[in-house]
Amino acid sequence: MPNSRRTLLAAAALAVPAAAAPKQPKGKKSHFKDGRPTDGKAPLYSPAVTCNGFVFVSGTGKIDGGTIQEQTKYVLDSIEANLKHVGSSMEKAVKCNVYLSDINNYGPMNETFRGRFGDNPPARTTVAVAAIPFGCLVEIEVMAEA
Amino acid sequence: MQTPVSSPFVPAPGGFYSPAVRAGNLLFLSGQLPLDLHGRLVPGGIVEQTNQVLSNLQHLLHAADADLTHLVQVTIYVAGMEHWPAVNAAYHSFLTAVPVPPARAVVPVTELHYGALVEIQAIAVVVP
Repeated sequence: MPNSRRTLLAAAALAVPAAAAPKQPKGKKSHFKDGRPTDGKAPLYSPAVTCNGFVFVSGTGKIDGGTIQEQTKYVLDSIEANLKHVGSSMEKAVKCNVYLSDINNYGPMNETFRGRFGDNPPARTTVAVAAIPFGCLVEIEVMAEA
Repeated sequence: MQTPVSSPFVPAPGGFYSPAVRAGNLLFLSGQLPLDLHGRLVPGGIVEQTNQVLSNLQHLLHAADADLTHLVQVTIYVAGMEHWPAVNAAYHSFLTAVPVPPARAVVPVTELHYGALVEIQAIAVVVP
């Protein structure tokens, strides 16, 4: 019944006040540590999202260059700040994905990574990809308990 | 509360991470490589490597009192899309008794650690 369905959808749309925010799943919340973008456009993604007791931190890179050690440290510092902003911590991280532009950077990345997540580090996956936006050497994303 | 999970049948991590971490009723499994208990790349080709990776994942699930049926999401990284048909066939054989196949993503990458051809990470739901 495509027609009646369309009518129902139209009716539903009319019932929503024009100024109402789009409906969000219950419990999902975006977090912008450094404030929401002020360019008037809808944000592309959230630096962090909490949902169902977990926090998901977006893939983070250092866009102004540096050595693999410098970039890894910067990225982990940024992730730590985002986790703390939502009341979580590095120790609460449960899963970490590491994307490298060159698998030969695995060793130095690993040494910089060591100890940053406490004595019970998260589960981790590391892969080398064809390229990372902005020419980054490393990009890391994290899931943690909120 | 996060609890590290490891298995005596899976090689110790080569980096600074836990083989798996349990948080509530979820189990996060690190990307598994086709390594034997001594950390050596298994002999053979893509089929043997895929079976070893899945076997490692299965051991980690068992260590958390879970099994393949508890998998909810799987990400497969392959070093070259040409390996995909063989990986898919081995994966299907391994999970043939799983009634609800987990959600899955396949990502071709340029390179994996130790020159492996396949790496698989997963999330499973377990009894708290």
